[in-house]
Amino acid sequence: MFSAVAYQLSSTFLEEQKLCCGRGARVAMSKKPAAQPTLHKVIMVGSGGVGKSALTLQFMYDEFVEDYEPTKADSYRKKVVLDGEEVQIDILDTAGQEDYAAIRDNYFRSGEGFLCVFSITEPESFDATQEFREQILRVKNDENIPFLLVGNKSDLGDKRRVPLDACRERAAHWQVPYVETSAKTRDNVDKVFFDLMREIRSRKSDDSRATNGDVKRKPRRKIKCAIL
Amino acid sequence: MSDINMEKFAVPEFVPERYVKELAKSCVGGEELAQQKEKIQSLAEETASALKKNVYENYMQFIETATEISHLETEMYKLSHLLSDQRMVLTTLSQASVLGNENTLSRESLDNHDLEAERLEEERKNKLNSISEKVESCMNLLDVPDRHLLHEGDLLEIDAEENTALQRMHVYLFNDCLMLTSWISNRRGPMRYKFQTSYPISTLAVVNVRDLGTVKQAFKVLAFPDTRVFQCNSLTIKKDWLDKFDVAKNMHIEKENLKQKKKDSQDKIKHESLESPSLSVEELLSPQIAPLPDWLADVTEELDVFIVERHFQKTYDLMIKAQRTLSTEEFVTHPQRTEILKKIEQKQKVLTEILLKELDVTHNWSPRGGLRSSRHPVLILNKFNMTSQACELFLDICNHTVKAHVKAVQLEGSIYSYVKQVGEVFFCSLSDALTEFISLFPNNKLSAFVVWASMQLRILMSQIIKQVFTPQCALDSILECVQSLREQCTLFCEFGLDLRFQMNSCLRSPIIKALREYKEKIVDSMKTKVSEDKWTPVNMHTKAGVNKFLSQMENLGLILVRYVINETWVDLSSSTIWFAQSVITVQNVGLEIVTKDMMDVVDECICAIFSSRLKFSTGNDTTYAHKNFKFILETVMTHMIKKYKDKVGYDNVKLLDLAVEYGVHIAPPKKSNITYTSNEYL
Ligand SMILES: Nc1nc2c(ncn2[C@@H]2O[C@H](COP(=O)(O)OP(=O)(O)OP(=O)(O)O)[C@@H](O)[C@H]2O)c(=O)[nH]1
Ligand SMILES: [Mg+2]
Repeated sequence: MFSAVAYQLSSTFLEEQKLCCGRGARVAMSKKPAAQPTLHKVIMVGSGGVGKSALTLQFMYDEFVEDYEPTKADSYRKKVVLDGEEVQIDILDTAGQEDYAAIRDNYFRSGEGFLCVFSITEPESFDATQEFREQILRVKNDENIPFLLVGNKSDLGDKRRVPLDACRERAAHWQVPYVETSAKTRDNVDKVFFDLMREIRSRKSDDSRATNGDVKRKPRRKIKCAIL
Repeated sequence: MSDINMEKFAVPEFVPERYVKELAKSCVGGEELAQQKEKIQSLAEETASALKKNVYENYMQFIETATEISHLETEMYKLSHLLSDQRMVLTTLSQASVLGNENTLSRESLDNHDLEAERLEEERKNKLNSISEKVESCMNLLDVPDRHLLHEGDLLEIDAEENTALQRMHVYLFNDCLMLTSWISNRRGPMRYKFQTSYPISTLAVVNVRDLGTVKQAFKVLAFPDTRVFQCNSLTIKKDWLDKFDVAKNMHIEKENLKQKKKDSQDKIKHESLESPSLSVEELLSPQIAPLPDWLADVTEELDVFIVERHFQKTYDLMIKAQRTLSTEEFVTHPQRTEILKKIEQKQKVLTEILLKELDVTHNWSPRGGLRSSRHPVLILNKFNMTSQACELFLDICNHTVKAHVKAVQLEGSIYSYVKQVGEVFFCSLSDALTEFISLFPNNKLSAFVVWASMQLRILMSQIIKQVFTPQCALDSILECVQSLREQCTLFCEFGLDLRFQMNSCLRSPIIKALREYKEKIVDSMKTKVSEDKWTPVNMHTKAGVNKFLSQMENLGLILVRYVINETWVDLSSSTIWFAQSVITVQNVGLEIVTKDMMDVVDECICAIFSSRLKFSTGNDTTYAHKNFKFILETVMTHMIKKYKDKVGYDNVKLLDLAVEYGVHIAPPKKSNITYTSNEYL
């Protein structure tokens, strides 16, 4: 009997305490001036081992990881200055080895832009970009989704097995930019992320103009609400 | 004065006015009155502070109790988690077999498990119901037939855009969906949480948040169009959640695969029935490579799923099946063959590592499952030719269980009952371990068990010896303990392992020591006992006392009825009685407790005690002393010489020599057919 009462009291006591803490934290956080800068959501896609995580970590922390540890699904956030404006980038680093397409769909839905990575030393990973592209278009239902084709490991030029022409051709066919990077030497790493953010930004302003009644541009999202 | 006052205040009919009046009357002058007032005031202060202290103490106790209770609650939660984990494994197992997967349980064993399954089903429903009771406007949890809880816990939701804390949530993860509930802040009644929403597993994506500025230990759940971020209290909690999500995901995938497979096989049957039944010769000889069957192409993923779900046997079976199939003629030249084999090898490494961990006592192994829980891992490891490692780990586990069992025996009552119980428990766990060992390992490993068992016995004996062989412990209770241990050990021989030699070698030196110490004690007190003897008969005071004495002596083998005089007197002096008891005890116990190699110690003790007594013959010339001396020689000594021979089959030569020296005539034993009950341990 006593224990029941005591327990009730103690749990309300603990709850209150936690609530106080929570409130404190909230107060402390809301003290921060102004709302958070605009958030751009980027998703890294591509086969396993092509260097998605390596690119992400190089961009985030200026470091190159030599070991290969397959990713499941990791997210990172960073404040950056994009053409003089402070923005936030949210990077979702996905698993190249996730071979269950239905699950990949769930990740892709949350992205606003995609870096589709392959390794120039591995033709299979280049072939796989085709499938990734198709899946993204299907999930996002948008031909003009911000998208960059990224040929990584450019530092391994002597082991190159995917001809540059083939890459360019595919990018042209898709009407997306093609960039070669090296997560090891940091070559073009910032460029791919910033280029993609610019695309996302311009897409967003297009959209808002569209919804604000500016009908001069034709809305790019064709069947916008079909998936909802 | 203040004491009296206190008592007065405490009576129920205390009236302050009257008390003050009386006080005022009895006091002479204002000064005394002021004094009284001061006293009362200080009393009031004392009481107040005592009261405060009591309140504080009670409060502390209350807090302690409360935390204790919340500890208990978490314990219960942990327990229920463990149970639900187990249940999960069981349900997946039974599910798989219901769906007709060939390499799972046979129909027969399934039937046997029907009852068990029913019970589990009952439990599952109860659990879901208890959740529904806690969650206001909860979704219908029982609408999906095989839904069960995988994980639950408190999480702090973070605003996905602003990185600010939003609300405290209680989150339930089921095998098929995620249910979010918020806390009811001023709750009344059984409802604790309020249902918010639920997401089917198939639409979920879980993200490990590695970096979110100041927000640490968070993970994200993407359920289009929602993105929800949760913060955990610790990294382990987060890891737990991510792992559990993984489990849910894998179960989901497996289920989908099964569905797909079923559909495929149905399609195939249809297809085949449509196709012409015989293959043309060209087709048979075509150089094209046959595509791998689906199960073989997906074998690595399937293995992953099995490993995650801890279907170790299935994992193994599938591996072997795949390896076999790949080495049949059909696939020997298949281009993917080496790749798949390599992958299988990798999985095998993963599997063995997990299995070794399962068996590792130092690695969160828990005694709950008992030895039996190690069966599967061991058997599989054996198949991988890792018998030695498995054996070592298995024996470590046995170590643990034996230790735990022995430790659980309480030292209550006599030392004998304790030793008896410890012995029983020990040999029982040993035989359990042995039967398990024999069923798990090939015969050539048996020597490892023997070494291990003797090691265990040695450890146990060293503990028991410390407790039993103490100066406080009487010689005959030592004997009792030793006998019970030997008995157990003999019983254990029936299992085919004879540890008696090891046991006796452990007992040897403490036994010798105990006998010698006893002897020294007697010899040391001999002089005082004899010199202080009044040399008169001993009065036992009552008839009962006499009877008790007589039966004691009879137990030692001496019939002394004819020494009783005047009803309650015994016609022997006190030192004589003491001597007879001591020396016969040492012989009786000695002959029972020793093994053959220690006989000389027994002889030595008997003779030393005797000769130390016989030395005093000359000093005491009273006729009564002489009479007692005669008793010792003629009755005690002859009795002992005879008893000795009866027991061991030959004479105690040293004692005989002593008898001859003191002129005792020993009648040659009558020829009789006494069968000697030989000491088993000789
Ligand atoms: N030389 C060189 N090596 C790289 C480069 N990028 C990545 N690597 C190496 O390639 C391996 C795989 O890189 P990860 O970034 O982990 O690959 P991932 O795409 O994230 O793989 P998953 O997480 O399995 O999808 C690692 O050993 C990296 O060190 C690069 O630009 N140059
Ligand atoms: Mg990665």
